[in-house]
Formats: sequence, structure tokens, C-alpha cells
Amino acid sequence: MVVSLAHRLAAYVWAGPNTMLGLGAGLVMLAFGAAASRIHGTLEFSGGAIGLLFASRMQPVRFQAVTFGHVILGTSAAALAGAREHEQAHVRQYERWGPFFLPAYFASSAWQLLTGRHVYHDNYFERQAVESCTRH
Amino acid sequence: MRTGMATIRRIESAEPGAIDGLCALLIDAVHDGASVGFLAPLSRETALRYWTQALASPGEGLVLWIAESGGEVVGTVQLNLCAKDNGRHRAELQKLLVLDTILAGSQSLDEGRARLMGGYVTVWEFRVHADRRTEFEEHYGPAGAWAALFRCAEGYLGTELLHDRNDALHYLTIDRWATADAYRSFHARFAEQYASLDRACGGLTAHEAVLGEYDDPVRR
Repeated sequence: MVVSLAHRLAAYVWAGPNTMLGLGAGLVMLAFGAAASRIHGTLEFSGGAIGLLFASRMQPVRFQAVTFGHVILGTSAAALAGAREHEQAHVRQYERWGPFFLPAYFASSAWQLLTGRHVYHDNYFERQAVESCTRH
Repeated sequence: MRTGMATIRRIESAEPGAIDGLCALLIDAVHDGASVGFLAPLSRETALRYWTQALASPGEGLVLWIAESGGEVVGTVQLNLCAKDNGRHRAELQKLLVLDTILAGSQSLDEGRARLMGGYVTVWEFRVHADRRTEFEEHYGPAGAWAALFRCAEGYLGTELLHDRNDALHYLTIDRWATADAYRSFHARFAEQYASLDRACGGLTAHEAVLGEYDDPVRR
């Protein structure tokens, strides 16, 4: 019990820098009308003007949800509900990789780009999240 | 070239019939663990995108053959020609794929194709609130929230969103699954997530109803 609690605490601390990044973005979303909720050990922010912007206007960087540590940002509550399983897989990746996750993620994307593959779908961490989601 | 089982011919244009079969073949191979540049679960959309691009300009460095049996594509192979001046005598063999049912000696090719291409579909009908159409299309389309959740399940092959040409608020969705069991397994495993997404999308529609669950007779 104590060991398990310490392990969870360590995971939150290890992913902490990324979580702070997500919290900052989440607070900005809140200022523009987003909603916040706590689900499965993460803080989720969704909707508002920024969510709408990323959902429908900003085509090159359009996405449904993105994770930073233990914070998940979604373009809407529905987008979050659909993507939650996948994003939770990313949360577990942050807990494993800590501050090295984002550099490793972008390095993987860069490698896919250099080798002629898809920058997102072929990214190692995205493929792992898909596999983790289906096996979970 | 004709073998005892299949006819082999070179593909020199993006023939719709051939592309359909090639998609089935690629999905079959990837789902069987073949390392051919994709990861399972491979959607039909992704497979279609790959073959459409590959066949967009055949002959320019890529030669592709297919094997057909009973009008079905049961195998394919590609030859990637070296374009360098000092390498015109060589080529690389790529994506040699054979349909699983052929390799395993399955009882029925159509049975195998149904498993691969989605012999089972569910069709839903929606009447959408006029001011929520954009959101509806975003969440119920092939890259939407529902598709994102379905992708967490084994056997999900894709979603199509159809808009009624004569009624701006009327839509149909077609969710394609490998088997009815895959669909039921998804519902059993993701009941909570399904309910959560259903609640989140509740305000988008004035009416929704499942029209039915269907088998594809061609692929059954």
C-alpha cells in the first residue's frame, strides 16, 4: 500500500514539469471559457474558444486532444470522451519518460519525417499508445 | 501468366476493383503481423490512401503485379526499380503479400474477406440540430470522437458519414467491423466510455436511431 502510494507520487513528480506545461495551457483555456474536471487521476480541460479554434479553424494543427503529463486538453467534452483511452496511454508514457518524453516524442517524429513516413501516425509513441489502447 | 490457382497480371493504373482487393490484402498482412510499414489495427482508409498513392504513377520506379482467383485479389508483389545511373540493373522486391485464406487453406475466400474488410456493419440515422451541424460532422465523421473510441477496439475498420442531399439535417453513419463479435466485444469492454461519449454528444441531435446491423452479402 505504502509502496504503491510512493510509486504513484513518484510518477506525478517525474511527470511534473510536463504537467505544469499542461496546467499553464489549461488555465489559458479556462480564461477563454473552457471547462475543467478531474478524471482517472488527470485534470482535463475542454471546450471554450480555444478548443473551438483548434477543432475547426487551425487545419494544420487540428487535433481532438493532447496530453501534457497529467493534464489532458480537449477541443470539446465529446472529443475528450472519444480520445480519453488513447490520451491515458500517453499519460502512462509521461510517467515512464518524465521530462524526456517531449524531446523523445519530437525526435521520433523527426525521424519518421526524415525516413519518409508519417510524422504523427508512425511516431513511436503514437503507435505504442494505439497498441496499448487496444490491449488494455 | 496463369498458375493452377491464380492469374497474375501487372497493374498499370489505379483500377478501383484491384484497389479494393489490395486494401484487403494489406490489412490481412498487417493484422497477421507482417512488417510492411504499417501497424495493426490498419484501417481501410489508411490502406486505401497507401494504394491510391502507390498507383498514382505506376511505372515510375515501381512495378506492381497482382494475383487474382475467382475475380478476387489474392496476392501482390512490387518491384522497386533503382533510379540511380549505376543501379539500373537492380531492383528491390517489396510487399510480397498473400491473402491469409490462401496460405491457411481456409474453407472460403469470401469468409476471409468478410473478416478483413468488414462483413458486418451498423447503420445509424441522425437528425441534427441546425446550429450543431459542424460539431456533429466533426464528432461523427471518420476522424471524429466516435471513431477515436472505436479505434480502441480490435476489429474496427472504419466509419463513413453520409449527408442527405435532400435534407440538410439528416445524416447516416456506417460503422464497419470485421465481425459482429468484434462489435459486441467493443460494447462489452467500453460500455462506460460509450455512455460518456453518448452523453457528451447528446445535445447535437434531435433524433437518432439504429437502422440495423447488416452483413455485406458480397463479403459474407
